[in-house]
Amino acid sequence: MEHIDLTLFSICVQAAIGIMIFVAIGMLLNKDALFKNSVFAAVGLGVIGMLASLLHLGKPFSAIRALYQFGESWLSREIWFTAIFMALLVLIALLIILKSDNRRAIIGLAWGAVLVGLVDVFSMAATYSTSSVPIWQGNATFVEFYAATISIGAVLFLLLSFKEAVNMGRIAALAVAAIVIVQVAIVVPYFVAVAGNSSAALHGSLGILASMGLANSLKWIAILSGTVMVLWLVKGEQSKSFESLLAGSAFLLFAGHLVGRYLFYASLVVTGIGLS
Amino acid sequence: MALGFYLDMTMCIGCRACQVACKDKNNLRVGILFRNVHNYETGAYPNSKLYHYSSACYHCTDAKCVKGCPTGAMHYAKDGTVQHDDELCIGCQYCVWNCPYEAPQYIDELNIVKKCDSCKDIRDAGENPACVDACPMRCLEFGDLDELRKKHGADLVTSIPILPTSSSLKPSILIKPRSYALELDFVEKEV
Repeated sequence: MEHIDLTLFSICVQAAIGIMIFVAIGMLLNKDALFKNSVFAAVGLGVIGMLASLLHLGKPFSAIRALYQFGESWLSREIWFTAIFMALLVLIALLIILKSDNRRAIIGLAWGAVLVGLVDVFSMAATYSTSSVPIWQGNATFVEFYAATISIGAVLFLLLSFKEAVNMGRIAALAVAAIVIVQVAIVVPYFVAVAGNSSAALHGSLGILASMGLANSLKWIAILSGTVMVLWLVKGEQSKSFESLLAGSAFLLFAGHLVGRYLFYASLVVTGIGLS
Repeated sequence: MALGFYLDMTMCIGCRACQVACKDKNNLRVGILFRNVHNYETGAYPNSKLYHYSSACYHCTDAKCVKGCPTGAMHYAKDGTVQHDDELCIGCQYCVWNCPYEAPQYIDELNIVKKCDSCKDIRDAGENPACVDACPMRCLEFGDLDELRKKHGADLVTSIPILPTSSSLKPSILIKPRSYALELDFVEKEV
């Protein structure tokens, strides 16, 4: 289970960012809602993600040094934006606990967190797409990362705050459907196209993915069935089994993206001598 | 002017003296190599050919490892070579994913990355890198690439088919290739 730390880091932080996107939209559409459960869950996911990222480092207690090269390094930028996002998230959670009447500040901070979070997802994708790992160098990396952010964020937000989230079911479900369509439309043709590339490193990655075909199939089955479920649920929001079906949809989308991210790291083959 | 290695492949016999000298100088355990001699075969029997390629850090003038390093541990020394500050390294291994020449190596026991520093301490004392002096065929040199080019002629190249396409990194290397090292049907061989 190599790179499980980075898998957890990227999925958990992206899920937290995704949740905050729908929290921020929900705060504008619902006059009194603060979506406490969703905000606290986002804080929890963010903390788990950041702790997991430390496990990847040889010297986790020196992690602060990763902030030194913002001007040059995409990895440094990623750490900066993750740290700022988490700081804003904790501030929002504290305001909700201590000064929940200051709604304007909470909404402002929530939109600030969304903006920083979206830049953070871009930085994460750029960190990988600019490396010397050919399989990561396409637009598919960006699409997969934003798809995980929006899909997981939408269903977890609905699951945790559906009682407060009036009018949000349809928006969240359509957002999941739209991003999954984009994901399928970009990622599937990308892998078909790279199969014709002559890079030995790229073919090494494709060989690894082919050997993990079952996991790859499970990823897509989980993502597509989770999306269909959330769309189906929005049609009948009042049904008795709504909550358990929503939990099922959230599980499928989270698990699908988690497996997909694991495959992303498992396919790591760096261009090298004799692998040109 | 950039400092870098010159490799005369036409003289290299694949003895690995450079690799062993490097390992000894840097006290590297089994499995870690800052200089690595690769062997490739081209053609097919009865016209197959074998060549050796001794590779280390290319001290690129636009190095991806330097650009990507989040801490600044990978940096340029005043002489333009790429150096690694062990104290700044946090062991994130991003340089390992960035270098197409397999130069940075993660050392488990130290929890950091290390790489060929072109024996900067020895060079600062006015001597050659350990690999250069160890070569019995005198096919390795280190120095100003402009001067090395003048000394060894115009038929030098900076890349051969086994090397990744990386002109954007501007690797500081000069290679005098064997003619069959320019053929595309290479297969790596254990020798």
